[in-house]
Amino acid sequence: MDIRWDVVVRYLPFLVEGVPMTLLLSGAGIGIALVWGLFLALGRLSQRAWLNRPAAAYITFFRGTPLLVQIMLIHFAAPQLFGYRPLPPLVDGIVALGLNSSAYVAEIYRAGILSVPHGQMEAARSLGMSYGLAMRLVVLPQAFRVAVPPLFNEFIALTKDSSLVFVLGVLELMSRGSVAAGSVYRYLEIWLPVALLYLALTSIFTLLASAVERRLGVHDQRPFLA
Amino acid sequence: MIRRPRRLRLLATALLASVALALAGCGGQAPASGNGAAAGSGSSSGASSGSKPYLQVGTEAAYAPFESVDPASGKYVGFDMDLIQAVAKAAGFAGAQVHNIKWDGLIPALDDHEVDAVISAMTITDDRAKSVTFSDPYFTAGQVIGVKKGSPIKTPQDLAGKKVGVQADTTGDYAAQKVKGTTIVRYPQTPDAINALLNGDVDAVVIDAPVLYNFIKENPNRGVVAAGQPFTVEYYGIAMRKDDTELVRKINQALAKLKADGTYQKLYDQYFSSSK
Repeated sequence: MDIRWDVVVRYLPFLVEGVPMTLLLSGAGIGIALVWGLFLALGRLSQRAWLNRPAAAYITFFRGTPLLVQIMLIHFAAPQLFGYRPLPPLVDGIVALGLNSSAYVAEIYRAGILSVPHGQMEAARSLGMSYGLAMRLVVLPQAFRVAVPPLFNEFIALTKDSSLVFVLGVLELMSRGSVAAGSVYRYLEIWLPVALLYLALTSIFTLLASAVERRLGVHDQRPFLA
Repeated sequence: MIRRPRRLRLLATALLASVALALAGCGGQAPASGNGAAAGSGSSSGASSGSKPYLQVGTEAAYAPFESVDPASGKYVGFDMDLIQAVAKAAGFAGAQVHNIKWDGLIPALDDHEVDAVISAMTITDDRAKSVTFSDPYFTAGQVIGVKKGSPIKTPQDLAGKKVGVQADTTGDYAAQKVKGTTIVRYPQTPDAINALLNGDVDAVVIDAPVLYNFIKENPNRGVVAAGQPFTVEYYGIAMRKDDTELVRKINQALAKLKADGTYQKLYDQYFSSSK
């Protein structure tokens, strides 16, 4: 096997340095998406047009245009349009990832909420709970259980998409791989470690997902298997 | 669901039809190459190009005036593109078929036999020469600093303590690394670095002089200027596989011929003469 271990050893620290940046980008993006996505989902489910329409338009836009385009628009076009000083690339990168992921997360939440039988809300309301209280205490906990697997799906995808902020000069794991491979012209020696590092990162998510699922009892219901 | 089967069927038909159309569009097209209107190859009349093969060429077409995509025609245009057409014809090919490939994928594309030659304003460096064979130099360039008008940066030494934008793994990247105390910000493509300069993300860029001059010429109102003269000298070469010695010989002969018969000079003047 023709593998240059010296290249692996020489570039591994450079690649590993990209891991915290990838973690920061995806972690912060996920944080934004978890919160903002919930508001979007509730807006999308609302009967009021002034909540429903903007939420639907937001989701259509952020799901319907490429993330790379959104990064460009947020960092280069928005300051030009509104005449403000561009924020640091890292900040705009995180904002773009978060805003984009929110659209997907909103639909995941919405699917989760819709999966809760209507009777749950009606029962809670008939006990005298307000809509908000019933949503918070009765519907959302059940919705969240359903949403966990697709949520982690989305977060793993976001982790890999975070490499697109290279276009703003933010060097994370993937772009470090590009830079390293471009300077030694060895590919196995660079991309295999990069793949393994990504796998390690996403494996953390997978472990986290099973832990959350266990805690929320996602597996309690087994309608078709039991 | 059950209420509207007709509309669903209609939707499915429309989807199928559009997919079929898209496929037909792909199949029917001529090879997507830029026969970039080989200007200036006046000497060898390439009339009979019937059975001759095309030279398969890789480039990253984001580097005007050397290689870029003409937005109107979608063809690959620029000095390199015209030159490689002329070189390919002079070397006995029907012409050059150009493939647009990302910078860091160009040399792998050679290795994989996806292309047989790379012309992409690629500077001949010792490191690269370990992986590929370069033709004789066809262009002399150098790195220059680009700044916004009114910047205090005048020389490479002034870059200390500043943020310097470069395209990753280019000679601009290497030249900037040699200046002590700079923060280098790497971008996937040169236009990304220039964008970052315009946006205020970096204080300066270090890029190939002809590219910066071309940007300034084409965009005189964007407030970008060159800080001093180029501070390195480098030569561009056409990259080929190491074991492809026959092609290297042919390409070098063709280059020499174009330089001798004035074709090269005509092309050079067309793109780089200051009078124009």
